[in-house]
Amino acid sequence: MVSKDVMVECENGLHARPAASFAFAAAQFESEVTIAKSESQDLGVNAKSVISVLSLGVRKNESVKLTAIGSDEEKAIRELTMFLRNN
Amino acid sequence: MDGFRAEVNMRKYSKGVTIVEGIAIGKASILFRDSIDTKNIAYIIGNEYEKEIALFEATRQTVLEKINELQSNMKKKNPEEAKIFDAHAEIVKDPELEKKVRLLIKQKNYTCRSALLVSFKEISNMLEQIDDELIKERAKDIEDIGKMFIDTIDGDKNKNANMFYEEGTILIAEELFPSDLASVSKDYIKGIALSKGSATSHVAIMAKGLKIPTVFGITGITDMIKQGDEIIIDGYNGTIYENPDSATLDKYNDLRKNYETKQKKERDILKRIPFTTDKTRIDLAVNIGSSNSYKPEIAQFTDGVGLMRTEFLFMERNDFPSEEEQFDVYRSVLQDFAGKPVVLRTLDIGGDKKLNYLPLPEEENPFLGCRAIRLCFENPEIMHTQLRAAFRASAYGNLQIMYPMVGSLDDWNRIQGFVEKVKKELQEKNIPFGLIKQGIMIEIPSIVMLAEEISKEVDFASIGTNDLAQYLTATDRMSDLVRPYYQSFTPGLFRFIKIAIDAFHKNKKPLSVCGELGGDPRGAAILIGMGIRKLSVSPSLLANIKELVTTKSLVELEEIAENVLNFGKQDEVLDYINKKL
Repeated sequence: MVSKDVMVECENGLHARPAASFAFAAAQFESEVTIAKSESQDLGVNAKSVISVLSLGVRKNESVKLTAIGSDEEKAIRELTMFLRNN
Repeated sequence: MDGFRAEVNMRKYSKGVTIVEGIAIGKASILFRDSIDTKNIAYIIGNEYEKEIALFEATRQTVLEKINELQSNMKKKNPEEAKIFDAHAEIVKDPELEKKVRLLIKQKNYTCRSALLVSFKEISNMLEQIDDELIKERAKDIEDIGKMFIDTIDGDKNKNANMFYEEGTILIAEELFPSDLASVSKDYIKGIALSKGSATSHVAIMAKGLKIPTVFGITGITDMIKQGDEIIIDGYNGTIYENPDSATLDKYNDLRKNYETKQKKERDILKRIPFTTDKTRIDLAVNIGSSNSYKPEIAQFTDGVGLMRTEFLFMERNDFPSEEEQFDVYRSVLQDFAGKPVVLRTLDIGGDKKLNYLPLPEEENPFLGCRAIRLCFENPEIMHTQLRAAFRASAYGNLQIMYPMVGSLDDWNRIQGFVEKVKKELQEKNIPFGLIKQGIMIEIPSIVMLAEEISKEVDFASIGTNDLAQYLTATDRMSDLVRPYYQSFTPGLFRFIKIAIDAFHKNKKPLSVCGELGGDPRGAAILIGMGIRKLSVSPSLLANIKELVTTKSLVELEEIAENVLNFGKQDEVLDYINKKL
């Protein structure tokens, strides 16, 4: 299992289109990936689900915790971190 | 006919919110939509789970294909707006949605249709509760997709929305979904009136793209208006008329025709390149506020932005905008004007403009007090942050910086101190910035009398005629009592401006006019005749000024200016110029 806190730098946070592209990016990995707000104690929601990602209501400059479990967990965290920082 | 008309009562619905301006006249077509009804759940009889799950999978496939089709149709016309449907496709494929639907079918014995209704309702309720306007709006997209699923199962009636609408339809509904508008054409739908809807919704964006006059927020409209009623949408005033009487109808028919003719004429003029009839090129730029204060397409008809007021970025908020926020706005304007010069004026606060988070000392004469560049000298952090944002943005286009209320060479030197510091900081961190031309506003009389010296220092200057006239005539612009003393067509002002023009010409530095005088064809004519070769005006005045420039010869304008400079009274100037134009 790999976990990492990442600052979201997407222009308007993770709303419709960014959330959809993020979920699409997450779905490319075999690992299970979850996303939660860093400040909350919640377990996190399925990062491959655009609906779940939207339901978090993540804004720009908010920190989220990404967790991945599976064969490509490190790659998943690395690439999704890049996504949140650059998109 | 007239007798018949008289029997019908005209109704007026006002206080709507204008989404797209314009006038539309047509027949009402009311779109009723059953809201997602989750009360009557249908249960599976017997053991047919597999059948219901197969139905879900088949339906999902069909909905995906429909979305792809809608999207590829839209791409041809509006590639940007077609992206709205990217998220649609991801939602249809969503694994959590699938999990939910399967669970309801398998564990609660819901039919596929009921499972979909309940799932979509839950999801849209959940998103509506999130404290973020953008995400709340997306609840509508979810409902839209839910509707597509249900329509598919019910065997749809909704292949191509145009098939249902006759030519000249006014679409009336509680609210609309993106898929409702994706396949409509402007030939069929003339206008849109909704009782709900928000300005940031996808539907609003699409209506703007289609340029269909649209009004939102007319409460109860679907209950009041009847199918087939004659409707006028006044997209300028946010007003709807139902069964207009013949006088109203005539009025709006005329208005629409006038508007269309005027728009076409304006458009033709805007396309011209501003040469005088004897082939002198006059640069015509626009004055803008922030990045939302203009329509980006204006960029192609101008020679850039001659005055970008940055005050608006600082107003209507509770604290200073950060360097990042400013950088984003400056960069987006530079990108809209793709390589054309954009002249950014640093903060001009004080005088008549105040910030509620920056307490200013009470002054007897605020227009003569601590405003604009003087206020920035008192609060160096404001100036420093703004310059950093501007310099960083300059890597994305042709940025020039202009400083307001410069009255002496000392002011200029002090500004250059700030600039050197910012340049050094950025260079140390290897942050790129462009070659920035710097100039001043000419609005304080003393700087006109120093035009010879200052024009050697600066790269350019622009005359703010409103303030220059105020200071030259010693008249407070805000005071009604002294209004008659504020003379912006006094020959005195033109003679004074001539001093600056001569000095800048001599030292070969560009001098433009960005004040109101240049946006008035009479003022523009005189100023060009006096030697001004660049005017910057509000986008709404651009066509007017372009028409003047392209229909007059420089010889004519020079003669006008010569005569104006020889008059002694404002009335003589006005009488003469009104006759000449």
